[in-house]
Amino acid sequence: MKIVSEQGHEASSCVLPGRKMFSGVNPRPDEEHSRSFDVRSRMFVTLFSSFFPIAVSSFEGQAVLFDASFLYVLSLRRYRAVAISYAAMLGMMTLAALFTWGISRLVPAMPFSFRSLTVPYLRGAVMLNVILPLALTCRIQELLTALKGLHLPFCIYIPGAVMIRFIPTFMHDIRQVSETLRIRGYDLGFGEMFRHPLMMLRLLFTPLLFRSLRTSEELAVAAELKGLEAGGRFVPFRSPVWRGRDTMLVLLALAAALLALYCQARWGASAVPAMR
Amino acid sequence: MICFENVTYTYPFSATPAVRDISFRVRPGELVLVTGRSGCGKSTLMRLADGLCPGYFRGELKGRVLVDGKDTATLPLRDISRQVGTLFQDPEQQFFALGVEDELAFVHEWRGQPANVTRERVRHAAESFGLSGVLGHSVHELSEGQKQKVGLASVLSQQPRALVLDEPTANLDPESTAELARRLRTLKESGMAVLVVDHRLYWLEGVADRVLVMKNGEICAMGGFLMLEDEGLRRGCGLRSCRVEDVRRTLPESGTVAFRHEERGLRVENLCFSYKGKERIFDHADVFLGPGVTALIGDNGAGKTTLARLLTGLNRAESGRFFMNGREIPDKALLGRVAVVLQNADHQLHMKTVRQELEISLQLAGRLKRRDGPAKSCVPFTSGELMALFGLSSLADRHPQSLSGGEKQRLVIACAFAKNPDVLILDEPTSGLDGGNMLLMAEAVNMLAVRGACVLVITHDLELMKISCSRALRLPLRRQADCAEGKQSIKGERV
Repeated sequence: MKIVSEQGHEASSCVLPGRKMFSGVNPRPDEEHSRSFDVRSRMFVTLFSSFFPIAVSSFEGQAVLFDASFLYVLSLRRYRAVAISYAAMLGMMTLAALFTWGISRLVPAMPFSFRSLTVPYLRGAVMLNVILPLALTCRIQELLTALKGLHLPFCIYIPGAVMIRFIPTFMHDIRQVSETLRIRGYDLGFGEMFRHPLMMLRLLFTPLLFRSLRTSEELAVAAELKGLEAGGRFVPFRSPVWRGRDTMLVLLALAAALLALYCQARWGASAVPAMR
Repeated sequence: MICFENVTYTYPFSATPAVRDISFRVRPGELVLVTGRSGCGKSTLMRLADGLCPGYFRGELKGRVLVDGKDTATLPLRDISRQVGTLFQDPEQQFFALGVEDELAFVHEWRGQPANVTRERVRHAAESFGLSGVLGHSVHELSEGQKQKVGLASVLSQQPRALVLDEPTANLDPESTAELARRLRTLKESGMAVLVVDHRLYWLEGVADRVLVMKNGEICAMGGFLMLEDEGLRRGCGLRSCRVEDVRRTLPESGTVAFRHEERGLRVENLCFSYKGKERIFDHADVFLGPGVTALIGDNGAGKTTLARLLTGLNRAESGRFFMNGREIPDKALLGRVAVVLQNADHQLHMKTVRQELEISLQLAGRLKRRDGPAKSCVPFTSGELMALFGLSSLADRHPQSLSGGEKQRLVIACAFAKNPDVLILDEPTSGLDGGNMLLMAEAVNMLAVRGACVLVITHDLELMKISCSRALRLPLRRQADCAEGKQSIKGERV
């Protein structure tokens, strides 16, 4: 008789059900690209991309920022995770569009057009593109060290780190919820979504809402028991290292921003006023 | 070390106290076991010992809880947590970092330990618990048993003076459970005070110095381990057995029956599967699940949940042929014929009431039957029958997400029963259940088996195995070539 699995019961490397997609730690080759950047450079890109798009109000400028950030997120090579995030964002955008349409029916002075939503939606997509690499690949310790290094108050950097920490767990929950719906025999096709939109919202969001509430409480309990506190001394056991590629990433982000400004100045005038 | 003095505690927005007039002491070098029916106040007792009540959960505390002589009501949580290490039933609940190594290091980093001290403690903790091979993994990738080890390793690496464990064996295999008992004995001998809250009792025989049995928030019995031999006490307080026979080696093997056209059950041949970039977990393996209850046995991390996912089509096998009742079916069709209940009850409950949850499951089952054709001739269940079977009748109008962990577990299994499946796979259905609910679950599973279903139970629960299972499927699985002799003769007969 031959034994198939050679995994010992302790040091087993057997991993569970397709969870790789959401893992936030290091040893995977496809993560190496992103992990080769220091957390500070990734944080710079994220923070810069949070504020800079506000200054870019034309479609052309936003398109440049979107393209550059999309290439950045694709460099993760976590295509399923990116696809799930985009699907979630698409859902929210559809909901927002429906509300905007509803308001336009009630208040004719606020006309509705898809084009007018393009720029805000692109801004949202740029944010998603830069947050995902940070959330899916960085260690919570790196993030805390970097945020603390900015001398931010405790009440800013702890919630900030927890929010980033929460993203992989939230995505893990989305995957589990959709899987359990399949197991129970629900039809998740577009047809069913259009026929029973409220039911679909209930099926998807009820468990997610309760899971999120539980997760936030669990994280708070974990933080309390681990002694996270204001003024605590945090000594990372792995020191961050700023390399040439980090400088390159920052320069590329700045170059994309300049290009966006140029495109806005060169072609932005042709944009529909409502898009601004 | 831990001392309760006339403690009565009431959660916020609750009219009645969760625990009443509790007094006991856990001295250094002593292990006290707390047990009782689900909802009797055991977890609250644990939260009082580690300061989460009222430090985090607020509420009203009467009496005093002392840790090392200091009143926990006057101490900040960070100071209590340096003295008392806590391991939750769901270890993921206490993970703050996402990686195993990071989680082991986190608390030391945050306490300002020099980097070399942190590194050394991480290395030592990983070696002690056999976690060196998974240090680089995400905690989400680990099996439940592995998560439990990471949680315990993290707690012990902080070198607390007292330890509070909430159902530490709920997801451990019997070998790991025995190892934990040995470890606790050593810790006890080194002077640590240990408070264990658990439904499983047998593993602490010879280790527990005292046992507290709780009922309706009060201590109803206190004494030595031998006290648990009283069957009247066990039945009255919904306790499990204090001695359990290990039937894992004596259960007959499943999966070696030769192929027959008229066979009933699920057969898989030539199953190959590996996760991306990893070694093969199943290499040309054969599986057969016949009518009745089969236990899926294997060490923590051996691939039990992975096999369950392959048998339901949630994960796609690299190769393999699936036969249901003698007919080959594509792996895409498996989900219509096989019901599976994984260990994530929170993710599976969507409706407003327990009754609605069951009724929609029955409707979905009807839809599946119209699509795939009737699987079996037996009469489907009704929502009332299912509620009665799983002891949920009194909860019919409650919101499913407001139920306790054990009640949610019973509800999601009831929803799987609604499908009236040919094959039902249950992943640790009795972890965290008290004696009464464990028996309820065993009866329900046996009843489904009597109706002709093939039930595969992934479990480390020796009591459930003894009561329900008639055979075992053991991991690692055999390679096809190893049991091919009998099969060569029937190759030509396949449907």
